[in-house]
Amino acid sequence: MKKYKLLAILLMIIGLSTAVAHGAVRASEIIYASTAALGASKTATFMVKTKVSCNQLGTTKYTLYKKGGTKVAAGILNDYGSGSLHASSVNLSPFIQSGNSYYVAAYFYADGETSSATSGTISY
Amino acid sequence: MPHDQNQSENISRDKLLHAQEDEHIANTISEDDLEKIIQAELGKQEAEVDVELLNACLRLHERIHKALSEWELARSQKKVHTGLIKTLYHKNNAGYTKRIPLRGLAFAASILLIIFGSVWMDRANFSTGSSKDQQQYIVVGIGQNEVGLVRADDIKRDSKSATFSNTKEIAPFLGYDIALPQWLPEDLELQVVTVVTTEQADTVMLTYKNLQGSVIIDVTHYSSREGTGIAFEQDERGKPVVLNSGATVYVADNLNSVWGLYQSKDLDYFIDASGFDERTLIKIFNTIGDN
Repeated sequence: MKKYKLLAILLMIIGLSTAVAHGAVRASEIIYASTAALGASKTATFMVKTKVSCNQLGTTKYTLYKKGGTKVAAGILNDYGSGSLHASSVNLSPFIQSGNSYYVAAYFYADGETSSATSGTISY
Repeated sequence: MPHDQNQSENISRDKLLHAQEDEHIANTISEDDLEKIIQAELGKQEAEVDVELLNACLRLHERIHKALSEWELARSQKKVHTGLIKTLYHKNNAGYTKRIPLRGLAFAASILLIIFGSVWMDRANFSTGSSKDQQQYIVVGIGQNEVGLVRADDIKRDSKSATFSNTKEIAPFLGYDIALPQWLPEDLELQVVTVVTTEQADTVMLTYKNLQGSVIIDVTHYSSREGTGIAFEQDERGKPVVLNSGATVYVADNLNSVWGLYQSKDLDYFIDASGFDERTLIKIFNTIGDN
Protein backbone atom coordinates (compact mmCIF):
# COMPACT_ATOMS: atom_id res chain seq x y z
CA MET A 1 0.00 0.00 0.00
CA LYS A 2 2.88 2.33 0.85
CA LYS A 3 4.31 1.76 -2.61
CA TYR A 4 1.06 2.91 -4.24
CA LYS A 5 0.98 6.02 -2.06
CA LEU A 6 4.57 6.81 -3.00
CA LEU A 7 3.76 6.25 -6.68
CA ALA A 8 0.71 8.53 -6.42
CA ILE A 9 2.80 11.28 -4.78
CA LEU A 10 5.49 10.90 -7.44
CA LEU A 11 2.92 11.12 -10.22
CA MET A 12 1.42 14.22 -8.59
CA ILE A 13 4.86 15.87 -8.38
CA ILE A 14 5.59 15.03 -12.02
CA GLY A 15 2.16 16.35 -13.04
CA LEU A 16 2.62 19.58 -11.13
CA SER A 17 6.15 20.18 -12.44
CA THR A 18 4.95 19.51 -16.00
CA ALA A 19 2.12 22.00 -15.53
CA VAL A 20 4.53 24.60 -14.15
CA ALA A 21 6.98 24.01 -17.00
CA HIS A 22 4.19 24.20 -19.55
CA GLY A 23 2.94 27.42 -17.99
CA ALA A 24 6.32 29.00 -18.64
CA VAL A 25 6.17 28.22 -22.33
CA ARG A 26 5.16 31.23 -24.37
CA ALA A 27 5.64 29.76 -27.84
CA SER A 28 2.77 30.21 -30.23
CA GLU A 29 0.15 27.85 -31.60
CA ILE A 30 -0.52 30.30 -34.40
CA ILE A 31 2.50 32.52 -35.13
CA TYR A 32 5.74 30.96 -36.34
CA ALA A 33 7.79 34.04 -37.21
CA SER A 34 7.73 37.81 -37.20
CA THR A 35 10.09 40.16 -39.00
CA ALA A 36 11.09 43.80 -38.61
CA ALA A 37 13.35 45.36 -41.22
CA LEU A 38 14.70 48.85 -41.73
CA GLY A 39 15.80 49.55 -45.28
CA ALA A 40 18.13 51.86 -47.15
CA SER A 41 15.12 53.86 -48.36
CA LYS A 42 14.23 54.64 -44.69
CA THR A 43 11.14 52.48 -44.99
CA ALA A 44 10.38 49.93 -42.28
CA THR A 45 8.80 46.63 -43.30
CA PHE A 46 6.99 44.40 -40.83
CA MET A 47 5.82 40.86 -41.49
CA VAL A 48 3.96 38.25 -39.45
CA LYS A 49 3.68 34.62 -40.56
CA THR A 50 1.32 31.98 -39.16
CA LYS A 51 0.93 28.21 -39.15
CA VAL A 52 -2.78 28.45 -39.86
CA SER A 53 -4.89 30.76 -41.95
CA CYS A 54 -6.08 33.66 -39.73
CA ASN A 55 -9.10 35.88 -39.92
CA GLN A 56 -7.07 38.81 -38.66
CA LEU A 57 -3.29 39.21 -38.61
CA GLY A 58 -0.97 42.15 -38.92
CA THR A 59 1.16 44.79 -37.24
CA THR A 60 -0.24 46.64 -34.23
CA LYS A 61 2.48 49.22 -33.47
CA TYR A 62 6.12 50.09 -33.95
CA THR A 63 8.84 52.18 -32.32
CA LEU A 64 11.89 53.68 -34.02
CA TYR A 65 15.02 53.95 -31.88
CA LYS A 66 18.30 55.73 -32.40
CA LYS A 67 21.31 53.47 -31.79
CA GLY A 68 21.81 53.38 -28.04
CA GLY A 69 18.11 53.09 -27.26
CA THR A 70 16.73 56.65 -27.54
CA LYS A 71 13.12 56.55 -28.75
CA VAL A 72 12.73 58.66 -31.89
CA ALA A 73 9.22 57.89 -33.09
CA ALA A 74 6.37 55.53 -32.40
CA GLY A 75 3.15 54.78 -34.14
CA ILE A 76 0.07 52.63 -33.96
CA LEU A 77 -0.42 50.86 -37.27
CA ASN A 78 -3.27 48.41 -36.71
CA ASP A 79 -2.75 47.25 -40.28
CA TYR A 80 -4.46 43.88 -40.64
CA GLY A 81 -5.41 41.38 -43.28
CA SER A 82 -6.36 37.73 -43.44
CA GLY A 83 -4.49 34.56 -44.40
CA SER A 84 -1.12 33.25 -43.22
CA LEU A 85 1.19 36.12 -44.10
CA HIS A 86 0.78 39.83 -43.72
CA ALA A 87 3.27 42.57 -44.54
CA SER A 88 3.07 46.26 -43.65
CA SER A 89 5.43 49.11 -44.40
CA VAL A 90 5.94 52.58 -42.97
CA ASN A 91 7.92 55.48 -44.36
CA LEU A 92 10.18 56.66 -41.52
CA SER A 93 12.26 59.11 -43.56
CA PRO A 94 10.93 62.20 -41.67
CA PHE A 95 12.50 60.82 -38.48
CA ILE A 96 15.78 59.46 -39.85
CA GLN A 97 18.74 61.79 -40.20
CA SER A 98 21.88 61.10 -42.16
CA GLY A 99 24.90 60.39 -39.99
CA ASN A 100 22.91 58.46 -37.41
CA SER A 101 22.09 54.78 -36.82
CA TYR A 102 18.61 53.44 -36.11
CA TYR A 103 16.63 50.27 -35.43
CA VAL A 104 12.92 49.57 -35.20
CA ALA A 105 10.82 47.28 -32.99
CA ALA A 106 7.35 46.06 -33.93
CA TYR A 107 4.46 44.22 -32.31
CA PHE A 108 2.21 41.79 -34.12
CA TYR A 109 -1.22 40.22 -33.71
CA ALA A 110 -2.72 37.07 -35.20
CA ASP A 111 -6.15 35.78 -34.13
CA GLY A 112 -5.62 36.48 -30.42
CA GLU A 113 -1.87 35.81 -30.21
CA THR A 114 0.90 38.41 -30.15
CA SER A 115 4.57 38.54 -31.02
CA SER A 116 7.37 41.07 -31.42
CA ALA A 117 10.53 41.54 -33.46
CA THR A 118 13.41 43.99 -33.55
CA SER A 119 15.32 44.93 -36.69
CA GLY A 120 19.06 45.19 -37.03
CA THR A 121 20.73 48.59 -36.71
CA ILE A 122 21.37 50.56 -39.86
CA SER A 123 23.53 53.64 -40.38
CA TYR A 124 22.42 56.36 -42.79
CA MET B 1 22.05 42.01 -7.66
CA PRO B 2 25.84 42.17 -7.18
CA HIS B 3 27.45 41.66 -10.56
CA ASP B 4 31.16 42.16 -10.08
CA GLN B 5 32.12 39.38 -7.71
CA ASN B 6 32.87 36.75 -10.33
CA GLN B 7 33.98 39.02 -13.15
CA SER B 8 37.51 39.36 -14.31
CA GLU B 9 39.11 41.73 -11.81
CA ASN B 10 40.15 44.30 -14.41
CA ILE B 11 36.92 44.65 -16.35
CA SER B 12 33.83 46.39 -15.02
CA ARG B 13 30.30 45.45 -16.00
CA ASP B 14 29.75 48.91 -17.52
CA LYS B 15 32.85 48.58 -19.66
CA LEU B 16 31.64 45.26 -21.04
CA LEU B 17 28.20 46.62 -21.85
CA HIS B 18 29.67 49.72 -23.51
CA ALA B 19 32.10 47.58 -25.49
CA GLN B 20 29.21 46.34 -27.61
CA GLU B 21 28.85 49.82 -29.07
CA ASP B 22 32.45 51.00 -28.92
CA GLU B 23 34.98 49.13 -30.99
CA HIS B 24 37.91 50.78 -29.19
CA ILE B 25 36.74 49.49 -25.83
CA ALA B 26 35.94 46.09 -27.35
CA ASN B 27 39.50 45.83 -28.67
CA THR B 28 40.90 46.19 -25.15
CA ILE B 29 39.03 43.09 -23.92
CA SER B 30 40.68 39.75 -24.59
CA GLU B 31 38.99 36.49 -25.56
CA ASP B 32 40.37 34.91 -22.36
CA ASP B 33 38.72 37.58 -20.20
CA LEU B 34 35.40 37.09 -22.00
CA GLU B 35 35.58 33.32 -21.53
CA LYS B 36 36.36 33.74 -17.81
CA ILE B 37 33.30 35.93 -17.36
CA ILE B 38 31.07 33.61 -19.43
CA GLN B 39 32.19 30.65 -17.34
CA ALA B 40 31.74 32.59 -14.09
CA GLU B 41 28.17 33.48 -15.11
CA LEU B 42 27.46 29.88 -16.11
CA GLY B 43 28.80 28.74 -12.74
CA LYS B 44 26.03 30.65 -10.96
CA GLN B 45 22.56 29.39 -10.17
CA GLU B 46 20.32 30.13 -13.16
CA ALA B 47 18.32 32.76 -11.26
CA GLU B 48 21.54 34.64 -10.40
CA VAL B 49 22.95 34.76 -13.92
CA ASP B 50 23.39 38.33 -15.17
CA VAL B 51 21.73 37.75 -18.54
CA GLU B 52 22.54 41.22 -19.90
CA LEU B 53 26.22 40.80 -19.08
CA LEU B 54 26.27 37.23 -20.43
CA ASN B 55 24.65 38.33 -23.70
CA ALA B 56 27.17 41.17 -24.03
CA CYS B 57 30.07 38.76 -23.52
CA LEU B 58 28.62 36.26 -26.00
CA ARG B 59 28.18 38.95 -28.65
CA LEU B 60 31.73 40.23 -28.14
CA HIS B 61 33.03 36.67 -28.19
CA GLU B 62 31.11 35.97 -31.38
CA ARG B 63 32.52 39.13 -32.96
CA ILE B 64 36.06 37.96 -32.23
CA HIS B 65 35.26 34.54 -33.70
CA LYS B 66 34.04 35.90 -37.00
CA ALA B 67 37.62 36.98 -37.71
CA LEU B 68 39.16 33.59 -36.82
CA SER B 69 40.49 30.96 -39.19
CA GLU B 70 38.91 27.47 -39.18
CA TRP B 71 41.82 26.10 -37.11
CA GLU B 72 41.67 28.92 -34.59
CA LEU B 73 37.92 28.51 -34.39
CA ALA B 74 38.16 24.76 -33.71
CA ARG B 75 40.81 25.36 -31.03
CA SER B 76 38.73 28.05 -29.36
CA GLN B 77 35.57 25.91 -29.47
CA LYS B 78 37.45 23.11 -27.69
CA LYS B 79 38.78 25.55 -25.08
CA VAL B 80 35.35 27.00 -24.27
CA HIS B 81 33.78 23.56 -24.25
CA THR B 82 36.41 22.25 -21.79
CA GLY B 83 35.90 25.32 -19.60
CA LEU B 84 32.15 24.81 -19.53
CA ILE B 85 32.50 21.13 -18.61
CA LYS B 86 34.90 22.11 -15.80
CA THR B 87 32.48 24.76 -14.56
CA LEU B 88 29.61 22.28 -14.55
CA TYR B 89 31.81 19.65 -12.84
CA HIS B 90 32.70 22.04 -10.02
CA LYS B 91 29.09 23.16 -9.75
CA ASN B 92 27.92 19.57 -9.50
CA ASN B 93 30.45 18.81 -6.78
CA ALA B 94 29.48 21.77 -4.65
CA GLY B 95 27.58 19.39 -2.40
CA TYR B 96 23.97 20.42 -2.88
CA THR B 97 23.03 17.80 -5.47
CA LYS B 98 24.16 14.47 -6.87
CA ARG B 99 21.83 14.47 -9.88
CA ILE B 100 23.09 14.66 -13.44
CA PRO B 101 23.00 18.42 -14.20
CA LEU B 102 20.66 18.10 -17.17
CA ARG B 103 19.44 21.69 -16.90
CA GLY B 104 23.02 22.88 -16.66
CA LEU B 105 24.08 20.80 -19.64
CA ALA B 106 21.13 22.05 -21.68
CA PHE B 107 21.98 25.62 -20.67
CA ALA B 108 25.63 25.09 -21.61
CA ALA B 109 24.62 23.52 -24.93
CA SER B 110 22.44 26.51 -25.79
CA ILE B 111 25.29 28.87 -24.83
CA LEU B 112 27.64 26.94 -27.15
CA LEU B 113 25.01 27.18 -29.87
CA ILE B 114 24.71 30.93 -29.36
CA ILE B 115 28.50 31.32 -29.39
CA PHE B 116 29.19 29.19 -32.42
CA GLY B 117 25.81 28.95 -34.17
CA SER B 118 26.28 31.83 -36.54
CA VAL B 119 29.90 30.91 -37.17
CA TRP B 120 28.91 27.37 -38.10
CA MET B 121 26.31 28.62 -40.52
CA ASP B 122 28.55 29.67 -43.40
CA ARG B 123 30.27 32.38 -41.34
CA ALA B 124 27.62 34.67 -42.77
CA ASN B 125 27.16 38.32 -41.89
CA PHE B 126 24.27 37.91 -39.46
CA SER B 127 23.91 36.87 -35.88
CA THR B 128 21.62 34.35 -34.21
CA GLY B 129 20.61 33.32 -30.71
CA SER B 130 17.65 32.80 -28.42
CA SER B 131 15.76 35.61 -26.74
CA LYS B 132 16.33 36.09 -22.99
CA ASP B 133 13.35 33.89 -22.13
CA GLN B 134 14.43 31.38 -24.79
CA GLN B 135 11.01 31.64 -26.40
CA GLN B 136 12.21 33.03 -29.70
CA TYR B 137 15.09 32.17 -31.99
CA ILE B 138 16.42 35.52 -33.14
CA VAL B 139 18.19 36.20 -36.41
CA VAL B 140 19.55 39.68 -37.04
CA GLY B 141 20.92 40.79 -40.40
CA ILE B 142 23.58 42.99 -38.92
CA GLY B 143 23.88 42.50 -35.17
CA GLN B 144 22.30 45.22 -33.12
CA ASN B 145 24.82 47.87 -32.11
CA GLU B 146 27.01 46.97 -35.04
CA VAL B 147 27.12 49.28 -38.00
CA GLY B 148 26.02 48.29 -41.48
CA LEU B 149 26.69 51.09 -43.93
CA VAL B 150 23.88 51.66 -46.37
CA ARG B 151 23.51 54.24 -49.10
CA ALA B 152 20.42 56.25 -48.29
CA ASP B 153 19.63 56.78 -51.98
CA ASP B 154 19.88 53.12 -52.85
CA ILE B 155 17.49 51.69 -55.43
CA LYS B 156 14.05 51.29 -53.92
CA ARG B 157 12.34 48.04 -54.88
CA ASP B 158 8.60 47.98 -55.21
CA SER B 159 6.75 45.88 -52.67
CA LYS B 160 4.23 43.51 -54.19
CA SER B 161 2.40 40.36 -53.20
CA ALA B 162 0.34 37.62 -54.81
CA THR B 163 -1.25 34.29 -54.04
CA PHE B 164 -1.20 31.27 -56.36
CA SER B 165 -2.69 27.80 -56.37
CA ASN B 166 0.38 26.08 -57.85
CA THR B 167 4.18 26.39 -57.80
CA LYS B 168 4.55 27.03 -61.55
CA GLU B 169 3.59 30.67 -61.12
CA ILE B 170 6.38 31.46 -58.64
CA ALA B 171 9.22 31.79 -61.15
CA PRO B 172 7.40 34.14 -63.59
CA PHE B 173 6.42 36.37 -60.65
CA LEU B 174 9.88 36.54 -59.07
CA GLY B 175 11.91 36.34 -62.25
CA TYR B 176 13.89 33.34 -60.95
CA ASP B 177 13.19 29.82 -59.77
CA ILE B 178 13.58 28.43 -56.27
CA ALA B 179 14.51 24.87 -55.28
CA LEU B 180 11.77 23.09 -53.35
CA PRO B 181 11.79 19.75 -51.49
CA GLN B 182 11.33 16.78 -53.81
CA TRP B 183 9.63 14.68 -51.13
CA LEU B 184 6.69 15.41 -48.85
CA PRO B 185 4.57 13.06 -46.70
CA GLU B 186 1.91 11.17 -48.65
CA ASP B 187 -1.37 12.88 -49.52
CA LEU B 188 -0.17 16.38 -48.62
CA GLU B 189 -1.90 18.81 -50.94
CA LEU B 190 -0.81 22.34 -51.75
CA GLN B 191 -3.36 24.77 -50.33
CA VAL B 192 -1.88 28.12 -51.27
CA VAL B 193 1.33 29.82 -52.38
CA THR B 194 1.90 33.34 -51.05
CA VAL B 195 4.67 35.49 -52.49
CA VAL B 196 5.72 38.85 -51.05
CA THR B 197 8.57 41.02 -52.29
CA THR B 198 9.93 43.88 -50.19
CA GLU B 199 12.93 46.18 -50.29
CA GLN B 200 15.07 43.61 -48.47
CA ALA B 201 13.79 40.22 -49.57
CA ASP B 202 11.47 37.97 -51.57
CA THR B 203 9.40 35.58 -49.45
CA VAL B 204 7.64 32.50 -50.80
CA MET B 205 5.35 30.62 -48.45
CA LEU B 206 3.78 27.29 -49.43
CA THR B 207 1.12 25.67 -47.25
CA TYR B 208 0.39 21.93 -47.60
CA LYS B 209 -2.24 19.93 -45.73
CA ASN B 210 -3.54 16.40 -45.32
CA LEU B 211 -5.67 14.64 -42.70
CA GLN B 212 -2.61 14.07 -40.48
CA GLY B 213 -1.41 17.66 -40.36
CA SER B 214 0.20 20.47 -42.32
CA VAL B 215 3.58 21.53 -43.64
CA ILE B 216 4.67 25.10 -44.32
CA ILE B 217 7.67 25.78 -46.53
CA ASP B 218 8.92 29.35 -46.26
CA VAL B 219 11.78 30.40 -48.54
CA THR B 220 13.24 33.89 -48.20
CA HIS B 221 15.77 35.26 -50.66
CA TYR B 222 17.51 38.39 -49.41
CA SER B 223 18.84 41.18 -51.55
CA SER B 224 20.25 42.50 -48.27
CA ARG B 225 20.07 41.19 -44.72
CA GLU B 226 21.17 44.55 -43.37
CA GLY B 227 18.63 45.93 -40.94
CA THR B 228 16.51 42.78 -40.89
CA GLY B 229 15.59 41.01 -37.65
CA ILE B 230 13.47 37.85 -37.49
CA ALA B 231 12.01 36.19 -34.40
CA PHE B 232 11.05 32.53 -34.76
CA GLU B 233 8.73 31.29 -32.03
CA GLN B 234 10.02 28.30 -30.08
CA ASP B 235 9.45 26.64 -26.71
CA GLU B 236 12.87 26.75 -25.08
CA ARG B 237 14.29 23.77 -26.88
CA GLY B 238 16.38 24.13 -30.00
CA LYS B 239 19.32 22.22 -31.42
CA PRO B 240 21.48 21.99 -34.53
CA VAL B 241 20.93 18.96 -36.78
CA VAL B 242 23.30 18.04 -39.60
CA LEU B 243 21.71 17.12 -42.96
CA ASN B 244 23.00 14.47 -45.40
CA SER B 245 24.69 17.24 -47.37
CA GLY B 246 26.65 18.34 -44.28
CA ALA B 247 24.64 21.55 -43.95
CA THR B 248 23.30 22.38 -40.49
CA VAL B 249 19.69 23.24 -39.71
CA TYR B 250 18.45 24.65 -36.41
CA VAL B 251 15.52 22.54 -35.18
CA ALA B 252 13.01 23.54 -32.47
CA ASP B 253 9.48 22.92 -31.25
CA ASN B 254 6.70 25.50 -31.26
CA LEU B 255 3.91 23.96 -29.15
CA ASN B 256 2.02 21.86 -31.69
CA SER B 257 4.67 21.77 -34.40
CA VAL B 258 8.34 21.11 -35.06
CA TRP B 259 10.33 23.40 -37.32
CA GLY B 260 13.74 23.68 -38.92
CA LEU B 261 15.71 26.60 -40.32
CA TYR B 262 18.56 26.48 -42.80
CA GLN B 263 20.41 29.70 -43.52
CA SER B 264 23.03 30.72 -45.99
CA LYS B 265 24.21 34.24 -46.71
CA ASP B 266 21.28 35.17 -48.94
CA LEU B 267 18.74 32.42 -48.39
CA ASP B 268 16.57 31.03 -45.58
CA TYR B 269 14.66 27.76 -45.78
CA PHE B 270 12.16 27.47 -42.94
CA ILE B 271 9.92 24.40 -42.69
CA ASP B 272 7.22 23.97 -40.05
CA ALA B 273 5.51 20.58 -39.65
CA SER B 274 2.33 20.20 -37.58
CA GLY B 275 1.27 16.61 -36.96
CA PHE B 276 4.61 15.19 -38.12
CA ASP B 277 7.77 14.29 -36.21
CA GLU B 278 11.33 15.58 -36.44
CA ARG B 279 12.42 12.66 -38.66
CA THR B 280 9.84 13.65 -41.25
CA LEU B 281 10.97 17.26 -41.07
CA ILE B 282 14.61 16.31 -41.63
CA LYS B 283 13.62 13.98 -44.48
CA ILE B 284 11.92 16.93 -46.20
CA PHE B 285 15.01 19.11 -45.70
CA ASN B 286 17.25 16.39 -47.14
CA THR B 287 15.37 16.47 -50.46
CA ILE B 288 15.66 20.21 -51.12
CA GLY B 289 17.39 20.66 -54.44
CA ASP B 290 17.28 16.91 -55.27
CA ASN B 291 16.55 16.25 -58.91
